[in-house]
Amino acid sequence: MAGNLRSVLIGEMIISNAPDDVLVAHGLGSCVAICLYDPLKQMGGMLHALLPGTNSGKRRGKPTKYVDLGTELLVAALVKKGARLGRLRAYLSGGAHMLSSAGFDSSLNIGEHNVLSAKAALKDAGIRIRAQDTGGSTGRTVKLHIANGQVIVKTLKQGEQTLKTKRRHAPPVKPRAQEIPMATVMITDDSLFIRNKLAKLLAQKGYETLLAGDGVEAVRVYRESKPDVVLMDITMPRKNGLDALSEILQFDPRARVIMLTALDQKSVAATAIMTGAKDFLAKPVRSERLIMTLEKVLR
Amino acid sequence: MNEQETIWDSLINGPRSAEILGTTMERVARGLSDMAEQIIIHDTPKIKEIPLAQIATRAGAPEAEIVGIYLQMETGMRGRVIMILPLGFAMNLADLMSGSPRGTSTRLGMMERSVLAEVGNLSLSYFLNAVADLTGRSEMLQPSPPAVIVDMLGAILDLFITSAAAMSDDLLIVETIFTDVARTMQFRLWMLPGSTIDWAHDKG
Repeated sequence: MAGNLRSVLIGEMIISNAPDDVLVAHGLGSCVAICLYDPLKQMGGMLHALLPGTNSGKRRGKPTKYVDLGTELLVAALVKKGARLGRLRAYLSGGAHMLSSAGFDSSLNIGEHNVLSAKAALKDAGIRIRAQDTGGSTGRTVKLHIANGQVIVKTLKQGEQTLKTKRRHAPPVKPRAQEIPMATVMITDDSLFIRNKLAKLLAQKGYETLLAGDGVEAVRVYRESKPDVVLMDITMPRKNGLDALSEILQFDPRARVIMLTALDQKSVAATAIMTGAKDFLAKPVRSERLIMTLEKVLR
Repeated sequence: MNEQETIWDSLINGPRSAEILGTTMERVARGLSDMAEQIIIHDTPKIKEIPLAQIATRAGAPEAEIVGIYLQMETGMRGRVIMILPLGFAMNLADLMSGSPRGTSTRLGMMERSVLAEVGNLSLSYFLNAVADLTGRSEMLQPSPPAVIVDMLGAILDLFITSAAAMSDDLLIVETIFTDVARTMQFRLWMLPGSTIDWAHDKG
């Protein structure tokens, strides 16, 4: 599989299927890098055709197509188009789960090699690395893994060290609390334990919280208080989260709803995204990922 | 054979039955390990046809006080599931999940029950996720909200099998036993296919 991958630029994304037809995705926020294989030559064109915000430009002297898209759009477009989702392997800093839920293989259970050995392995496989280990526009650092013929790009956590590489340091990132005004988050879950746990976490991060124990309550509280963002479980009594999502969107088409569910199935993720959810997280969710997703949706 | 029965049939009778059931339970065990912050392993899932008269004694003494987490598979695949946990383990699990020191819970209050309900919800969801993944089902497989029951084992199992008893003297179950590596805790997961009786008739 790896032999089909022509080049990888980490930090941004380059899918190079032909020297003069380079697809670049950039400014993706959470969507940092994707490793693509030969079926994606076709898929790259499909993305270009499908996604809004696509435009063309020049990059490094080569004709380039730029795609500025969010993970949601990517998934929704691919699902809508009936793409063979299993052919794409991806790891995204904020959207890995969503892609995984939509059927992509974002498995990280691979033997981990360091950047240098990955580079050597890529060279052996005839794969050219265009750039490596940049912070990109998002200020994040990414690291390349390769094993078993798969190339995986992983976003490093803050403070996590890369190996010695020629690294462009990203400009200092301001604390997020200063970037995003504190928002009101409605937590909808039939589990008292989960509601309390999330409310405590969000309160520590400075968010206001509203609570709802099922879909009926969620719709009512949303109408009354119009929170900035909703965390919505799916399996709930009286009205499930997908039905509540639809009703909330009928009332407020601009509602920002993040599904937070244990139902990590591609059909569920696809339904939620097509219905209008802004993101999809699987339980149990790590607090860092939850906060990152909230911040992304609130931007 | 209708669509519901087809899913169960492929799980129970299909050529990849053992592989799929083993993998699904592996994923449940992995999820539970994450939740409980200790390694939980599972035995090989077994498919058993058990006389109703014997069912209450299979999981232990009928008078033992246990916790049952009961769920139904409602969408895309019908059936009933019960997790049977010794009371002591249930309280330990509640402590672990809520970040409290072991031994904090001395009774199962509203919060502890909510923790256990979430354990049941996650476990069955992991199972259904794995089934959807491994069988390539395109429809959503969704569990019901969970119910947590604290009672004598015999009473809980009576509740679980009542509806089946009206239709047959035997019960087809999928049983897996989960154990922590120190083997100090053990609990069972029983699945009762929603179309057990019809399926059994088809089989005959």
